[in-house]
Amino acid sequence: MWKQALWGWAFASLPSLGLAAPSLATATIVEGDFVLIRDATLYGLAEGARLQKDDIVQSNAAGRFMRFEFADGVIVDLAPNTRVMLSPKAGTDRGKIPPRLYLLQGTVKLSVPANVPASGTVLASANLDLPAVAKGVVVSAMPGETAAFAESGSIALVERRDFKPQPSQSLRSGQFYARTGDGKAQIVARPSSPFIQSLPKAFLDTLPPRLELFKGRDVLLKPSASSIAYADVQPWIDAEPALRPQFMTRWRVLTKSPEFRAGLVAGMQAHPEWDRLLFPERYRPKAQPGGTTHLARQPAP
Amino acid sequence: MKLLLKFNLVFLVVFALGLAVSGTVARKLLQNGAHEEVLDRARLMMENALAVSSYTANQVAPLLETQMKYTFLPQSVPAYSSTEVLNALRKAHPEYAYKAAMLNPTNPRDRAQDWEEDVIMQFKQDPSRTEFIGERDTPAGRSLYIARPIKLSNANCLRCHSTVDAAPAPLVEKYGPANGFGWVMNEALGAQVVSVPMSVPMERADRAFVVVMGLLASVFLLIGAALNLMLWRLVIRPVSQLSKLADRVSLGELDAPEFKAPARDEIGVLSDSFSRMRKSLVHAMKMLDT
Repeated sequence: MWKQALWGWAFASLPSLGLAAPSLATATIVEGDFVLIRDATLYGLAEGARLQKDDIVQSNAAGRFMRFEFADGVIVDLAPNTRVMLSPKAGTDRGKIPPRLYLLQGTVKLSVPANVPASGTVLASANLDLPAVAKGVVVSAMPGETAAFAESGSIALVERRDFKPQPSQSLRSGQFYARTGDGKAQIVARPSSPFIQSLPKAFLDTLPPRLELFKGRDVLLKPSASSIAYADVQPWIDAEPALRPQFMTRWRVLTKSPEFRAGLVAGMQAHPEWDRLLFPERYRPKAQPGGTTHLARQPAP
Repeated sequence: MKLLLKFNLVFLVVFALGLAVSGTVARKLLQNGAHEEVLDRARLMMENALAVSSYTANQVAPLLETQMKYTFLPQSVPAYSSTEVLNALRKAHPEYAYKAAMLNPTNPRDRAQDWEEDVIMQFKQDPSRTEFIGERDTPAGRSLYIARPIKLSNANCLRCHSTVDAAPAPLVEKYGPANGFGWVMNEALGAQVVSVPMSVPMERADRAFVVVMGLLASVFLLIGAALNLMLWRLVIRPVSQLSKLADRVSLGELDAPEFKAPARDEIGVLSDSFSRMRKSLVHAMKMLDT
């Protein structure tokens, strides 16, 4: 009995020691407020923080600029109001290897060194995936607007419509892809002026890698004083279908919070799969007279 | 005519001649000096422009490489930065004008004017020529200019100036596809030109000339005054006194006081000779009386 308790304590301690999973990337620049959601805990991000698989990094307007660097040299810059997830399960049509990064919302800049071998999707998002990036690309996923700029080198781009991949296309260095809503995408020679204006200044500069500065320096993540609110993760809960199932197990524990539960219930039409979790009694077989059973209630459409 | 007047007349003639000759020579030398000084300063400005261009090409442009993929920044162009720096320098030296004049510029403000085209053509015809100095008439008066050829020596520059297709899209977007392409390595494509109005070295030389001539005239006048004073004290005054004494003695005033020469110079010797002659005369007169 005491052995089981000891093992339980040891496993529970792993996340706080940063040993729960190997780190994929390191936050090397954090300007403004960026938060990390690991499992069901909210952390404030600081430079030197190690990021793991399934970590969610996001900011609001108070997050000015953030960069994290992968060990293989791939660099990801984040603009304000951006939400990304590292190496998530994102559906079988994106290949066996999870995408390196999933962009839910906002703008990211990816810099890929020449010596990084192609392995799986570099970036995935609801409206487009990037299976290959030669050198540098800026991708923006705003409500109703999707854009990609091949800053340097070519990129392979797969449009997604109704969450299904379309034939791959390629963008030459300097070309700009823009799509409004479900309309036809435009590929033009130059990025639009509003797109350029929307980028943080730091995106336009060549900032050197800083990963070396943080080697051997472990930064202990401090859990935020507040727990995850429904509004913090609602865009993820309502994300594309391929992404959503993992959040039900991940944030099941949060449904104990009345605020979180109320949020889920209020928006149930957008994530009906949570109905079964919140109201299991509705799905229990009911004994009927005559020995037959049937479901008490169908989930909300 | 009195001795002092004769002396002063001669002195004034020599003074006038000396002042005229030295003035002419000094004026020429000062003008040449001011000319060279203006040219040296122009060369320094040109060297400054070259240094700024080189700094921009080697250190600034690489830092702006990413930004240039979004928007063309003229600050990354060596000729632009040197022109801007020289324009700032002109606030302290407004008389100097700088231009990187090009036959086929990307930026229209660098397009060579007619006379600048002629200068560039001279560099084209004689590739070994490294500098050209000339003068020209302008509405504001005559102007002095110094020009050096602009040649492409860095192959990286061809990325923006070889063909429209090879040029960065933001550059074509900003300046259009018509100008600034087809440049060739090591060929005179333009000229750095620093112009300065001729009135600048002339005024500078004139200011120095007035000072030099003023000093020269002052020295001449001082010398003249000193010579007059010395001539009067050492020669004219003792000779006049001796002459008056000789007159009195010749009129029979044999007991007139002796003349004491203040110094043992030629006047002193003359005075001694006159005293001896007077004594001999007194002695002879006494012998005649007895």
